[in-house]
Amino acid sequence: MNRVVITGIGIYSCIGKNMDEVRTSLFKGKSGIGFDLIRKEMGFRSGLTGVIEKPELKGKLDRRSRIMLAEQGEYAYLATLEALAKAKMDEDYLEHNEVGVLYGNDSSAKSVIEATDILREKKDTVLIGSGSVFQSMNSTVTMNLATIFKLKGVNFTISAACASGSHAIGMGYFMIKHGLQNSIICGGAQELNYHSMGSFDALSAFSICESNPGAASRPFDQKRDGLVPSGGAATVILESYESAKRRGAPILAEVIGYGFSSNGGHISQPNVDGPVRSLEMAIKDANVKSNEIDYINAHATSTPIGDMNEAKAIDKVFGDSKPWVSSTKSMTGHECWMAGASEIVYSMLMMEEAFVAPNINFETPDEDSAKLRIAEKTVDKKIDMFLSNSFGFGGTNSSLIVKKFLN
Amino acid sequence: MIGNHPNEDEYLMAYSMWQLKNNYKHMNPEDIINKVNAFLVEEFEVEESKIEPNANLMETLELDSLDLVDLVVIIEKNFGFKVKGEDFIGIKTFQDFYDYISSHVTA
Repeated sequence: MNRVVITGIGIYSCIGKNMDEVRTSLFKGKSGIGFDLIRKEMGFRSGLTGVIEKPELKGKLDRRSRIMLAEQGEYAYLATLEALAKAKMDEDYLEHNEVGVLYGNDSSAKSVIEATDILREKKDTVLIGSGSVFQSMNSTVTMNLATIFKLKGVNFTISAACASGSHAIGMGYFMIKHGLQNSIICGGAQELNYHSMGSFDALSAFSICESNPGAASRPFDQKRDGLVPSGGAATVILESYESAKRRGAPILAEVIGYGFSSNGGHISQPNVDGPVRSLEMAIKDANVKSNEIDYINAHATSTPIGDMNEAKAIDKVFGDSKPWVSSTKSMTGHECWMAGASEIVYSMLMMEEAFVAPNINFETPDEDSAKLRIAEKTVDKKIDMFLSNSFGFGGTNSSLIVKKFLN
Repeated sequence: MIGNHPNEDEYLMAYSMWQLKNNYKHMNPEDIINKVNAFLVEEFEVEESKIEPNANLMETLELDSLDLVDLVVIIEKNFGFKVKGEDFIGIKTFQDFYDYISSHVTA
């Protein structure tokens, strides 16, 4: 079995368009949440959303590639560019080595809706254009990344709701560990538009703290009233230790555990048992003790029940060891299919710079979050090992453990 | 919503479409060539200097079958008519293309 290391990371998010910007935002506790008037005009209950700058790819990418990319594909392209540069994998390397791509994505609503709008208006399919079908499929991100970067390894998309990005990394870890592939570009991408969020808003799951967008996402806080949708993309390049050593690649960290489970319960409301089993499986896979984990990047999305049950699960598994806990969703909002991957990137930046990013807006704990050691402000802390949770609709759970690489 | 009354929007939309279709009746061949070149350069990101009347359309613009779909879209957007797939069979050079567009808009 191979050791699995991380040799490249990249990000395009509402708190920064690259690693440097994101690092600064995390340290300062900067929110990326804003208010979108269009959503209110469309009849949304909540106009809150992560705010992200639209990429300008003309000049960076040829016309044909640009036409095929959906919004989240553009984010994934930029995040992957950054990660490949960090991993020192150039065009030549990708041509002569089998590098795979396993990315998390679970929708491409805007592209589908725009195509249907044209169909309804023009009653003609050709007028939908040549890029639409490639943008509209769930696998739009992986099919495009594989084409743009001319990848030759494993190639598919992982769809697991809000655990997509985490499971994508888990799957990459599993394949490399068992020798099926030397390196895999993993990640998660999420479109950030009203088309994809309307039916989610229908569930009254979003915060309506519209008068103060930066304070709306408040995981674990007593006054939390719902999540804030967000988006972007994050890339995490996994590689076998042997491959990384052989080519002199930078080794940023090591993935040592992956756990998963399904709740077998309600489709949207999590329970405690499912997450507990996911946590325990990851810890067992990593062959570590729970008290070795310095920091937990919680899934906590700022929903009343979700945060409560995760707090119970963390307390059950970690009890007295009380690792630092924070949910970066307090700053970024819920990045959905991207979250599992972006939260690995955020945690790695913390591990690199020895700090725990704050769980902003955490003012008053409730009965369950009071039992956790939640970082309400930035904490100076050397992190040698962290765990990241991601849970999704359908009761899908994923937990990843990453540690500082030691030779 | 451009106007206040729902019917007014439909009226304005219908009038705009009529204008689109009928403006081209007054375009001379040179105007059509200029307009076509402009959208080919813009859409396919090719240098205008490469466009010559006797040059091969598909080769010069490096068009594949996917691009032909987009060409149909741009023609509809710019000249208000829908190209049929079989129409492309007779079009080899840029001049063939200009003639084809002219015949559809000035008819």
